[in-house]
Amino acid sequence: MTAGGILVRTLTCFLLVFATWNPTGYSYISWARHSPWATAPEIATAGALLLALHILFTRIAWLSLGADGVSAALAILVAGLFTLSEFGLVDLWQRQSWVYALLMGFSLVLAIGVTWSLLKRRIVGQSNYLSPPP
Amino acid sequence: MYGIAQPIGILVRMLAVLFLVAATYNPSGYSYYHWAFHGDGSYWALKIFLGLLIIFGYVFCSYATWRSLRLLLSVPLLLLMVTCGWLLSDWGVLDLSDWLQRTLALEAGLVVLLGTGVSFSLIRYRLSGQLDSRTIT
Repeated sequence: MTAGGILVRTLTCFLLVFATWNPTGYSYISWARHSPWATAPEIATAGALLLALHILFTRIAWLSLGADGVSAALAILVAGLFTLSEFGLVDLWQRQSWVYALLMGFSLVLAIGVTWSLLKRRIVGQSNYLSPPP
Repeated sequence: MYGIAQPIGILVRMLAVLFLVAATYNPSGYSYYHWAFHGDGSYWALKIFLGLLIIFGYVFCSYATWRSLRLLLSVPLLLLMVTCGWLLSDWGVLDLSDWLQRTLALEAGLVVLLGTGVSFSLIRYRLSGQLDSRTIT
C-alpha cells in the first residue's frame, strides 16, 4: 500500500461516481437520457458495466467500514466541508456547492472504504478476513 | 513474495478455463463430448477417467466462482455479458441467428464467468486487501 496506490484507488472512485452523473451534462445519465433509441445497446452495456462496478466498490467499502465507519467518515467529511465554508473557500448558499459536495463525499467514502483494509494492515498489522464472504 | 492478481496470472487462469470448456465441447467436432458420446466404443476406461477429471474441473471452478462472486456480483457480470452480446450483434460483429456463432458466444460467456470467478478472490485481495479465507478446523 503506497501513496500511488491510494491515489489510483481514489481517482478510480471519483471517475466512477462522476462518470455516472455530474451536473455539467457530460455523464452517463445525461448521455442515456438524451440519446436516440438506436444507441440502446451501447447504453445498456455501459450501464451494466457501471452497475457492476458500483456494486463491487460499495460492497467492498461497506464490508471494510461498516455502519460505524461510514458514519465516522461522513461526520469527518461534513465537518471538513463546514471548515472550508468557514474559511470562505466554499459558498454553501449555492445549490451547486451542495451537489458537488455530495458527489465528492460519496466518492471519498468509497475511496476510504476501498483503501481502509490495506491501510489498516500496513499501519497496525490487522488484516480483514472474509470468512465466509457474504 | 510474488505479485498477486497480475494481468498475466489472470490471463493464465482464463486460458486454463478456456481449455477446460473447449476440451469438453466445441463446434469443430474434436472434443471430449464428440469422442466419448459419438465415437466408437473403444477406450472406455480412459473416457471415464478423463470425464471424472473434467467434472472435477467444473466443480472446482464453480465452487470458486460461487464463493468469490455470489449473486451480488455474478448477476451483474451475466447482465454485462448479455448486453455485450446485444451490442456486438447490433454492430453486426456477431450474428446470433447463426448456430456456430451463437454456440461460440455461449462458450465465451461461460469462460468469462468461470475465469472471472476463479480470479476474483485474488483481484479483490489486491484491490481492497480483504482476504477470502475459509476456516477448515
